[in-house]
Amino acid sequence: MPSGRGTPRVLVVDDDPMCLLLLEILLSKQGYQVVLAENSDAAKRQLTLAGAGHFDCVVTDYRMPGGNGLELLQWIRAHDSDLATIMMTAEGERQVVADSLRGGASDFLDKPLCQETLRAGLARAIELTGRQRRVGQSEAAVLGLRQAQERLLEEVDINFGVRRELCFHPKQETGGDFFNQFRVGPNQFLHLLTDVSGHDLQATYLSAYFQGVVRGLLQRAVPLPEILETFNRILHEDLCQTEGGAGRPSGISASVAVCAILVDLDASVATVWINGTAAPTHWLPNGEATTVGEAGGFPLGWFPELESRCAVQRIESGSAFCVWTDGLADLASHLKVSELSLAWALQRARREGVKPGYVSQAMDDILVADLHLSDASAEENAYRPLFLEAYAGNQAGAVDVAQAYWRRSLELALPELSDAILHDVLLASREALLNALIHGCRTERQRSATFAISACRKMRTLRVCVSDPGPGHSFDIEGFKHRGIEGLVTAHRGLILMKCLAGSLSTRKNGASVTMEFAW
Amino acid sequence: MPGDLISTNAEAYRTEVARRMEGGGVAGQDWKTFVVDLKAAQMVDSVGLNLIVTWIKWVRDRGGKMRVVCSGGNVLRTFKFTRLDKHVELVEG
Repeated sequence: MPSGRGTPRVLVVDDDPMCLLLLEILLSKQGYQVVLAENSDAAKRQLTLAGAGHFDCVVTDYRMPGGNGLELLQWIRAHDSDLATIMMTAEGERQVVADSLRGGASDFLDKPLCQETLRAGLARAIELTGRQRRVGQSEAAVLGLRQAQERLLEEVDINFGVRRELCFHPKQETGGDFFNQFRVGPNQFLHLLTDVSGHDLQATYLSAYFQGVVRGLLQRAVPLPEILETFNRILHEDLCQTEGGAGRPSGISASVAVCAILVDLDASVATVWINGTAAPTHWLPNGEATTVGEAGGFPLGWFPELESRCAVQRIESGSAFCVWTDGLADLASHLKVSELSLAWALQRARREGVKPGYVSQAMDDILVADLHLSDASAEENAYRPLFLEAYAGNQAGAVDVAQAYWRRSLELALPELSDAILHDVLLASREALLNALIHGCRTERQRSATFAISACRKMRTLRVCVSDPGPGHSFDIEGFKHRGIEGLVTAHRGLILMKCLAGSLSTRKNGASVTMEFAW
Repeated sequence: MPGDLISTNAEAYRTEVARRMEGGGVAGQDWKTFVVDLKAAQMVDSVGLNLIVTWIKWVRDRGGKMRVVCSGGNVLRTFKFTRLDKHVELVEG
């Protein structure tokens, strides 16, 4: 007697009444519920009437008038794709067997039928149908979970004085990356980015569990550092147990990377805690950007003592933050582009309702969160950073590598840039960086120049800012330009180029900080 | 030139061309035009332009003319807005 849910239902299709009768007797004796159909059309009617999921197996003859077994097999694949089908063929019909298997038949039986072969083949086919139906149900459940996760991430946007924009690309159907917001005071809001190790259902569950623990403890006025320490202890003890400790292992061997941003609108400060994630980038409407805190450290669950990396950032109206999980950093490294330009490109694609093809190359879940302390219209006029890099003074020889990296990043984030604009931005940036490294940093490894590019899509303008720690120098660029051009003087030709290439050029700190703008 | 004329390769070109001009006896030969082929270049930076200026002076000192051949586009623009096109014969090729 076959096992499984109830009595397995088998549909037998053959135009030979004797064969139908024989199979009905045989299969009924073996405990199956048997339904007969004398041809392909009758079989389709039975299947349609019963509905997808009713039968556990179809056994069909190949040669039948009015539609052969292969044609029926294709119909079944289209209408009940999980239903296993066994094809009966005359002995030696190798091509039919090959076509049947290629068409999705689970097995084939040679006529005249052998009872034992029939019994074994049918058991395998019914098991296959059951397995495929269970997989289908699991997939549907996971899809439902994914939709719920997407709704929670994208639609449940509570206005906590900070406008958020989330971009989520799980590696599987669901993932362990999540972002949540909590009110902790009248004008204090906590924004929490979490990344649970793994990108499966367990990671999704643990992520939701962690968010719940945080919410519950915050409501009881427990300070965030204490909450992080508590969860670290829980995870670490579990990890130790699964690695052979004395306790009972839970089976959950996971870590949680966390970046928390506590925005205090009254005090105009944001406090950032980092445990194993990237450091958030903060920027002002003019594109001036800083990295807040230090990336890395250890996620929750690795060690008994938790060492959060904490930093404080002054904020003002128009301030914005961007933070992401390590899936973005991995993909940026794979594509050899800056993380900020990839974050820009992903947020842009999300707004345009597009999933970029390169996302399929990601090896991990990707979650990008933007936080804006301004309304959408003000943000449109703001500059958003595409690069925020530091180059050591001795890196002038590697400027070609840097330039190629800028090019790839700009092409990804702003594919609308013309070849001429891209050339001008790259050449002027190259000149500015070389000037900063050679003169400002005196080519010393211990000194470094900062290099930043930001862009405003509404104003179609790119802004390049290069600063060095040097004292600067006289910046009579018009004088340089005249002498350099008319007198064929070689000095300061880099500055002349920058002046000619950029739409505008301004300096600060006696020329140690240069800002150039390019309209596109 | 097989590609760009930029800071990371200009010194190598300066050395090689100087070797051919002085050591190779070009300086002493009867020639009128010194041609720099930049058809393969997409970019010429300030160090590359300075090398061009050095060659302009070298050629002028010997009573010759200098011609720069480029494929147009960005390199042509670079020569024009730095006005080096006033000092060389700029040819699109």
